[in-house]
Formats: sequence, structure tokens, C-alpha cells
Amino acid sequence: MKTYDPDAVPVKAGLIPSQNVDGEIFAITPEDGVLHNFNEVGSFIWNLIDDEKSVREIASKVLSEYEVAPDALKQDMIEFFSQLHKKGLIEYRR
Amino acid sequence: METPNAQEWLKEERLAPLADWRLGGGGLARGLQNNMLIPLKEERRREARWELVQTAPLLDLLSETAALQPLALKGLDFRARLYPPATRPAVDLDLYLERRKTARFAEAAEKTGWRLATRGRLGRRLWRRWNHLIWGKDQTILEVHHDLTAPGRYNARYRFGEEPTPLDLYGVTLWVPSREDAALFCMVHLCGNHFFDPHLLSVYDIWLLCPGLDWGKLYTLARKAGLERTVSFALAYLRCYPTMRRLVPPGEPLRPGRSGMNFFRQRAGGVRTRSRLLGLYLADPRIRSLTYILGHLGERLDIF
Repeated sequence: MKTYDPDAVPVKAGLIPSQNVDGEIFAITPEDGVLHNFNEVGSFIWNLIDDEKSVREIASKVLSEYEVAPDALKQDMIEFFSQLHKKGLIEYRR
Repeated sequence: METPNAQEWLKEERLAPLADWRLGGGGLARGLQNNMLIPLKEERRREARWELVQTAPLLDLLSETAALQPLALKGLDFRARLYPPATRPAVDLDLYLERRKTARFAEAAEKTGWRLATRGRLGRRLWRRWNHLIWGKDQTILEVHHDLTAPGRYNARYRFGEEPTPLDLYGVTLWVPSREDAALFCMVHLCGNHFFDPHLLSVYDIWLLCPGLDWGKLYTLARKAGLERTVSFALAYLRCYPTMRRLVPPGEPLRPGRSGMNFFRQRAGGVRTRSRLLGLYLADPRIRSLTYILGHLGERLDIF
């Protein structure tokens, strides 16, 4: 998925071991051994990636949880999901 | 206890990440200052990162060796089934594998990028003296044991007695010994490796294993392996901790084994004297330290 597709369903790419420390997620990609650390909102989104919810559904959950303008959220989601994809943490399913 | 001392103490006893979880999750943190809580939180975050770095290289290996059913010991086992996330520190990871399976395991380890860290003379010595080999990949150190105790110290008949249980570890199968086997192994370790001077973390391992433990089964396993005395002394030791007292039943009567019987015949006069001796041993830090040093020097301690 090269552009932002709100209907795409993100799935975690293979085995991504992760640890939840009081809501803060640490994850590692076993192939390269790189550690990833999400902030509070990032951790919230990571927990919502369950092979079922689309990007749009995840965004609406974030909107209901956090006070954020929809346009700003859209930009942040584009950036965040692009990073997750680039780092090999997620793939997409249509 | 002053705050910096408490932090140092918790770190020394390897309980800092667990303390953070207990204080945060149990709501006990109210009233404590941030200069106490922030370093504990940092320890737990560090532990979370370390656990992932340590565990990630293992997944391929576990998947490749699933048919051999290597058993997770101590930290690797207890992280998966007893402890809250990122609270059980472990310097290295331990697996137990029957000796006859080690060649097939080595093949799979090399295939998945692991390298034998101990070769040559040191490797042969570790294999003979300590019954394990050390494998390494990235920052992970993996000890693969082919026996549960060091030779000469204990009854060589000691094996896990029950069927292992499969657990899920990030999508791969991790085999762990039964609760009773794990508890017995911890007790053997408490006596034979820590010489009754463990980090508190090791006591906490047993504390977490205790609920739901079938003590009758544990005694049967101990009897079968000739480890009744070890269990009795371990239980007596654990009963010195107030939190363990209500969980740990008194040990069954000591088996008058060869070395123990001679020891007590020569130097003591019966069960009551034995208990007094043990009490003295447990109460006096100097005697405990001496025993610890003697143990590490390789002296065989009669009471075990």
C-alpha cells in the first residue's frame, strides 16, 4: 500500500514479540533485532491492530479516546502507519 | 530504609522491575516519592527491552527444535508462566535437553545462526563438570543442560518426573516442566547452586510456584530422586521468610541417607538437635557465608 488507504486492514508482520509496560509497548523485529518503542498513542494503536480492524476503524477508536482534530489525526496516522510498514512491523490486507 | 538504599537493595536482589509492577499495579505507590519510583520504572523498561533482545533470537531455534522438546528452566520458564510482563530478570537463558538429543539440537542451533560459545578445553570442562554447553547469538547467552545438577554433588538419578506442558511464547511452543518438577528443581538449585544464600528473586520464584502446588506429588518426585533431605532443608529455609511460612508445609522426615546419617550420628543427637543446627545455620550470616564460599570452592556439603 503506497498511499493512505483507510479501508486496508493492517496485520502484524509475522512474529513480533512485544512487551507491555503499563501501557507502553516495546516490540522487536526478530529478523534484524531492532527494538521499537511506541508512545502512549502509538501503543494504543498497536493494541488495536488485530487482523480485523481497518485503518479507518482504528482511527475512529483513536478519535473517541483522544481529543484530537480529525485532520491532524489523519496526517499522524499516515505517518505512523507508513513508519510501521517501513520498519517491517505490519503488512496490509484488503 | 532510606530511598537510595532501598533502590540499591532491590537492584541487588534483582527485584527492581517486580517492585515497580507491585507498586504501580497494587496502588501502593501513593505516598512514595518520585525519586523512588522513577528509577524503578526505568529498571522495568530496561528489563522489557532486554527480555525482547534476549528472547527474539530464540524463537527460530525453538521452532526448529520443537520435536526435541527442550525444556525451559528458571527465568525463561517463569517469565512465560508466572511473572507479570518484564519483571523477571535473567542474565542468560537455560534449556534442559536429554543428552541423546544434543547432537540434533546442535545441528538445528547452527542452522539458525547460533554459535557454540564454549569450545576446546573450556567447552569439554563445562560439559563434564557442569553438564551444559553455552550457545550464543547476538546478545543472547543460552545454556543447554543435559543434566539437572552438577556431577558429584547430587543424586545422579535426578530427572524431571512428569510430562512437560506446552506454552505459547510469541507464537512458538515453549515446553516447561510441571509445577512440581519446577519447584523441586528450584529447591535443588537453592541448596546446591546458591548454598542457601540466593537472590531474593529465587525465593520469589518458589513463592509464585507454591499456589496450586501438589505437595504430595513433589514429595514423591523427591523420594524417587533421593532428594528428600534437599527438600526438607529447602522447606526449612523457606519457612524463615514470613511470606513463605503460610505457603510452605513442614518438610517430611529426613531420610537417613548415607552421608547425612553419618554426619548426624557423629556430630548431632537426633531430630531436635538437627533442627537446632539448621536454625543456627540459617540465623547466622557468617555461617551462611562460609557455607556459600565452601560450596563455591567445590566442597561437598554433607547435609545435602
